[in-house]
Amino acid sequence: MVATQQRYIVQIKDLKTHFYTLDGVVQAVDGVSLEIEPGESLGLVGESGCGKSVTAFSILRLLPKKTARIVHGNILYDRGDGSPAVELTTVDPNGDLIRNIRGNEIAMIFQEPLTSLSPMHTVGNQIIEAIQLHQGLDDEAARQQALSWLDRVGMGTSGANQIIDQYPHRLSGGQRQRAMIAMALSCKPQLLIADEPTTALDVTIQAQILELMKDLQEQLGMAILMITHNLGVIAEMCERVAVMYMGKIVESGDVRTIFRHPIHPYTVGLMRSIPQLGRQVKARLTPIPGSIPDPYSVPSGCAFLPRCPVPKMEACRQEVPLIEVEPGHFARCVLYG
Amino acid sequence: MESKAPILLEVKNLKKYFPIKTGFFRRVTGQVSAVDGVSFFIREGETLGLVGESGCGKTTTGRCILRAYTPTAGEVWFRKDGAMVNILELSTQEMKPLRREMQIIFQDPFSSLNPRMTVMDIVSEPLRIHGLAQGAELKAQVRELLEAVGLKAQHMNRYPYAFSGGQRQRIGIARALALRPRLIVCDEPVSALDVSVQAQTLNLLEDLQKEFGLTYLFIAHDLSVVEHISDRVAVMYLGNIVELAQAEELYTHPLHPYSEALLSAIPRTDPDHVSKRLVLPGDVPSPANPPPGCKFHPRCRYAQEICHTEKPEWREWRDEHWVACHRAEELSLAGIDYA
Repeated sequence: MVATQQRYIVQIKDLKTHFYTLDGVVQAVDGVSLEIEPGESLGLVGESGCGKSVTAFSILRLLPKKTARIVHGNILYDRGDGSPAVELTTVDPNGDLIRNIRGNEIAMIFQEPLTSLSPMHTVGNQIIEAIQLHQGLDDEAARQQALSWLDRVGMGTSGANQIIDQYPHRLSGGQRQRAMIAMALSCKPQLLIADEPTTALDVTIQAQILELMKDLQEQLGMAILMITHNLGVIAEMCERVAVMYMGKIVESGDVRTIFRHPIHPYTVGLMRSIPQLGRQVKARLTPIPGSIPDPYSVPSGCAFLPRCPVPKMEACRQEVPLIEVEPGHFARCVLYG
Repeated sequence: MESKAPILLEVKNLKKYFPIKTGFFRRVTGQVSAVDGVSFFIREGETLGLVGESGCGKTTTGRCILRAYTPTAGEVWFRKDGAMVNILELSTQEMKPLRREMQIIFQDPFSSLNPRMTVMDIVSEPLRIHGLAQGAELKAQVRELLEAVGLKAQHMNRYPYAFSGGQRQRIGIARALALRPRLIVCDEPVSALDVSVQAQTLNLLEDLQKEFGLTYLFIAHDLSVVEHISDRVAVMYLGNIVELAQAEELYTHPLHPYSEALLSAIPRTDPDHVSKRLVLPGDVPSPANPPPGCKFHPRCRYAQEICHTEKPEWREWRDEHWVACHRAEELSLAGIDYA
């Protein structure tokens, strides 16, 4: 690691979050290290079940209490006010400290805006609640602020006045996601965690939301942790990207390097499996053979070994470390050891 | 490669309106024009992609063709023994042999398989219904089908829960293949799958098409997938097809402003791609109350007076390139640059 005085908003070190279920233990996050710098956009990409959402939930301590446990590692959060970094893995998940951070300093938007908004409260009340909780404004000032946020997320002044008193079911998918973004940004967070923010939306609406997020990031200078399985969204939105497979980061680096010269066989496989627009019409895709292993019995060593197209070496059966192949470009593969 | 194979299916001015019922007496107070006058044809052995955003009527179109819904108006002509038959005029009994010729693959591999039936029951059901095989013969056919889609035949006694999403989708494909159909309506067959499994499924569909000479109506919202698999592509918006052409032609030289906007909205996997994105303002209007004139005009950057009042005509603008836009001649729209 570089030992400069780089400030990180969030620094995750060797995080392991496991789920204890009746059928056994699922090592959903199994040794993830990540740093998020102020103002940057970091993409976290992987297929379903790879642990990308659980990593995000671990940061905000939103894990299900009964089954999930952070068994190892640290998440250091720098509040940006000069105070020492907060160790998020040990704070009380219901305590005052995390409540001041969650939704205020670190905000999150979710994939399905209909299930993450309360159906019993108007959109306005939900945004006002967040504003009052964290900023202690009176009713009128909070309402004005909610209106101005709805306007800023592209609803227009008249649209904002209409929407603020509507219940979520009255809004379209794009409007709901805008309302979610308004709520998340209303406290000007340092970091916005976006968990598949456009997956449930149509392409033209997705384009609107991505443009909006880029604009607001520029205006507010916040960092974004973008979690998605859509490589196109990552290529457009992020500067750095980390690829996850079975609870581990298998490759990370800046976006251009990862998309142009991926080196981990899994990343290479992912890039080849997507139909690329405007190229090789009717050329066959090269899928990754097989499917992801059973999460209850992940093979030891490299989890990608059973699907890996390159010759298997004895070393693949051991724990494979994340290797810095070139400055800033990491890969977890014995080919580069 | 595409020369002119005979037409297998021709849809003429197909309409499907769903009534909106309200109140205690379920009075009909309005209607949703899900499909509002759609015409196209599919040649034998080709893949026609049907793209559009949610609610544009692509699924309803697919289901009307299979007569899973009874269309409000229109004709669906299908080639049977060399002659075209309008399947909407057939009685249920006359329809039954035709149902063997057309099958469907659904989007959600979880809800489209009955959890209480084994794979054997699921895949053999069409064969049993049509009385085509029984006993050992039935079992042999199921085994063959499972192997054709890349599943292990010894797993035929398992229940759907024991399979992953991609494997379930293969079960659905085996079921659709059981009757050796000529036309398969693929309704978002890969959108619920992860990218690596999606690629496997797309390859499988292509292989099966070659092996069995299948014709696909491929319904999807992912434009990259549609471009990859389709010979020709139709773009739908609010119950109408607004443009239809050869895939490459449509992607490089779109004629309809909606196609242009859709193409520019796709997030590209090239980090150096300079986005010239045309962000469409607003949402898709409700199909229960569509705008007058051209349904796209409230969101169209090129809209003029005429677009507000007059419905554009569906016409063949160039050879095999249809469009419904008043301004198709004068506009020069941006497509995708082919590398």
